[in-house]
Order: sequence, then C-alpha cells, then structure tokens
Amino acid sequence: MAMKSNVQTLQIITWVLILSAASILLNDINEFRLNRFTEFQDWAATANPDKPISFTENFMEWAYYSLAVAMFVIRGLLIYAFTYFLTILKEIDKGNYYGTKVSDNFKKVGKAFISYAIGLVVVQTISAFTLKNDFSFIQLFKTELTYLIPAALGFFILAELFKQAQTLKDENDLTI
Amino acid sequence: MKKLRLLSTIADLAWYLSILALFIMFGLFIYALIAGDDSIVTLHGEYINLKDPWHLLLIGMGLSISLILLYALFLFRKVLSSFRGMQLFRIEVIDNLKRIGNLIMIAGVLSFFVDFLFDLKVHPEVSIKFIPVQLVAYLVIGSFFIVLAEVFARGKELQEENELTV
Repeated sequence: MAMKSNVQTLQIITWVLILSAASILLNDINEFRLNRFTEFQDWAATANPDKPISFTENFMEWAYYSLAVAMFVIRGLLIYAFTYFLTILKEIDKGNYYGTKVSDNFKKVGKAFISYAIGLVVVQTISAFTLKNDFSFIQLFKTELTYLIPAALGFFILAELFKQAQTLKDENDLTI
Repeated sequence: MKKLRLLSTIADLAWYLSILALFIMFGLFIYALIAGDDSIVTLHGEYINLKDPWHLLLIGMGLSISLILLYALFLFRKVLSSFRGMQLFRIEVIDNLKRIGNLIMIAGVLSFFVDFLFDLKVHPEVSIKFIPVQLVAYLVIGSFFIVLAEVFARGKELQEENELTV
C-alpha cells in the first residue's frame, strides 16, 4: 500500500516536472520567435525588395537560428525521455517490477540522457567555432553533464539489474 | 559490468573532490569569521555580512545541505559497492536506498528555504516563482530512490522464496 502511494506521488511529481519543463521550453521558443519577428520587421522596413536573399552575407544570423532551433529540439527530446520514466512508474504501479518493459525503458531513458549530453556538447562546440561564443567546457561539465552522465549510467545499470531480477523471477515461477 | 565500474569511479571522484571542497569551504568560513573579512564568503555569488545573524543562518543552512548531500553520496557509494559484489537484494542496500531518498528530499526542501530566505533578506525585491523546478527535481530524485528501495525489497522477498524452493 505504502509502495503504491509512493509510486503515485512520484508519478504526480514527474508530471509536474514534465509540464513545468515543457512550459519553460515553450516560453523560450515563443520569446525567440517574437525576437525574430521584431528583427524581421526592422529588416523589412529598410530592405531592398530587388536584392536576393544571401545566405553567405547573413551567415552568422543563419548559424545562430539553426543552433537555437537545435537546442530547442534537444531540450524537447530530454522532456520526451521523461515519458519513458512515467511508463516505468506505471509498470511498477501495476506490480510488473521485473518485466522487459521496465528494463527496456530504463535503457531508453539512459540513452536519451547520453544523447542530450552529446547534443549539448556538439551544439556548444559548433556555436563556439561559428559564433565565436565564449565556450567554457568546464562550465558545461559543472552544470548539466555532471548530473546527466552519471544519471544515464545509473539507468543503464538499473536496466541490467532489473533484467537479472527478471531471470530470478522466471526461475521462481518455474519452480512453483 | 563496465558501466557499474565507471559509475563507481565517478562517484569516488565526486566523493574525494567534495571532501576537499568542503574542507576548503569550512577553512575559509572559519578564517573569515576570525579575521572579520566579509569579502571571502559568498552565497549565490553575493558577499555575505558575517555580523548579520540572518546571513550566518543562510550560510549554516547552505553548509548543512552540502553535508547532507555528501552523506547521501557516501551511502550511494556503499550501494554501488554492494552491486559490484552482486549483493543486490540485501537489507543494507534497501535501507541505504531509502536513506538516500530521504536525504535528497530533505536537502531539496532546505535548499528551497535557503533560496527563499536569500531572496527575502539579501534581495528584498522578491521574485515569485510559480513552480520551483529545482525543488521538484530534488523531490523526483528522492522519491525515485525510495521507490527503488521498495522494488528491491520485493526482489529480496522473491530471492528468499527462490532460495526456499530450490
């Protein structure tokens, strides 16, 4: 009974986390879109309609837009990874602790965390070279990577442990 | 398991670096108190007035959070060493997972209060946060460890049944 209530509480808190992270992301996207629109209006006021759009001339702007969009996609993927975590909790809530679904989803969450960390490093590195941003790898390690990589490893280990427990359960079911 | 060894190494590294950082933090704090130098101790990047009891309380709470998290890390290393010895469903592992969960949740709540009091006392222009994401993240991690402890407790029961039937 205590376990069921704990799992349900965790499910509710995870939903709060997902919704708040998604709302922050949507707010950032909207802010980005509004800023681009203001810039577009400024550009449109003085632009020469006969002049063709040049990608090379506005390389910096295009690079900035692409990297910003890439960051939004990566953040979205991390939020999506939490839905796998919810699936794990749902299975535990149903009492299927040691099923393949649980271990597979642990692996998926781990992979999503690793992908997010790699994506972050790639985007930051490209942005450092193209936009000449102040790229501090140590700073990046201090914040997201210090938590995400160990968490991903933890999820991979849990996937293995749950697989072993499943074998144990199968043996147990056979002997009874 | 290579991943387990890697995670153990990361946890060990984090443990030794945290111990070193904590010693330096304590040393600087005691030096600042003795010398009466306010330009050494900072909280959230702001210099702290060591004569103000509120500021001292905030620093004290900040140090307690560090100690709580350090103890959680110590217990986590113990859990990992049990996993490495393939002792998965032991009572010590279950107890330690439960303790880690509780400690993380306590640290999260304390950290929320420190942030709130810091805004109230150091930055009187209080900003309203509708959803304290940091607190929610701490609660998710803490409850996850507690749920894991319960799942491992079921695993222990299963193992005992298995041993009895064989």
